[in-house]
Amino acid sequence: MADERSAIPLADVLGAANELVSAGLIKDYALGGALAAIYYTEPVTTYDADIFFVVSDKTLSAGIPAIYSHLKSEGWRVEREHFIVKDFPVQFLAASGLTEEAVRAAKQIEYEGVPAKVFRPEYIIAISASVGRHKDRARIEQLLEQATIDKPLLDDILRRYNLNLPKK
Amino acid sequence: MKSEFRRELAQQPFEEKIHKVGELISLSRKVKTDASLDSDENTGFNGAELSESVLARDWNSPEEDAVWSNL
Repeated sequence: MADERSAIPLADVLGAANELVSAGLIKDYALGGALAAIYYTEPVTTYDADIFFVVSDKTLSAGIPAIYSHLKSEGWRVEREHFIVKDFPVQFLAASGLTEEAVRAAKQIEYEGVPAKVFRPEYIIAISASVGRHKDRARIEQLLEQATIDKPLLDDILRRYNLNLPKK
Repeated sequence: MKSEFRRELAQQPFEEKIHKVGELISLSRKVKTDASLDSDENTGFNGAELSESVLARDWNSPEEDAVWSNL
C-alpha cells in the first residue's frame, strides 16, 4: 500500500528544481500557488504544485525543451500542461514581472532536508490580487488573517503593479 | 473560536501541513475510486482530474471539521 504521505512528493519536486538550477537550465525558482500559501496558512486542498522559474535562456521557448528533457530523463512524464512526478502534477511557469520579482525575493526554506525557496506572503497576496479568481480572493483573506504580513512591503508591491485588494 | 483553531493550524510545521493535504488527496482518490467501482459507468480514476472545486466544496462542513479534529 502506498504511503499516504507520498501523495504530495514536494521534496522530489523541489529537489528536481534544484537540479535544474545546478544544470544551468533555469536561473532561479520558487514555490508559488496554493502550496506556497500553505507555508503561512492552515492547510488547504490543492491538486498541483506551481514552480515559478527565472529563465536562463531568454529566447521564445525559454528553455522549456531542455527542462522537459531533463525531467523526462528523471522519470517524469507530461500530461497536458503538467509534469507528473509520482502521480502528482507540477506546473513549471516562466516568471516575469511580478512573479519574477517574487522569485528573486522569495524566502529560503528547507523542506525535508531539501533547500528551497517559497514566495513571501506579500507576493502571494499581490499575485492573487492580479489573478482575482474566487480561490485567489479566499487565499488573500486567509493570508491576511493567518500570516504575518509586512504591510509597507505589500502596499509598495500593490502600488507598483497597480493592484488593489478585493473589497470584503 | 473557529478562526483561532485555523490560526493554530497555520502555525504547524510546513511538512506536517503538506502531509495533511496529502492525506486528504489520498482520501479523495480512494472515495473517487470506490465511487467509480460502484458506478455503472466504470471509467476508472484519473488523478489529474482531481478538481480543486470538488475538494474545496465541503471545506467548511462539519464532516471536514471532523477530518481535521485529530490535529
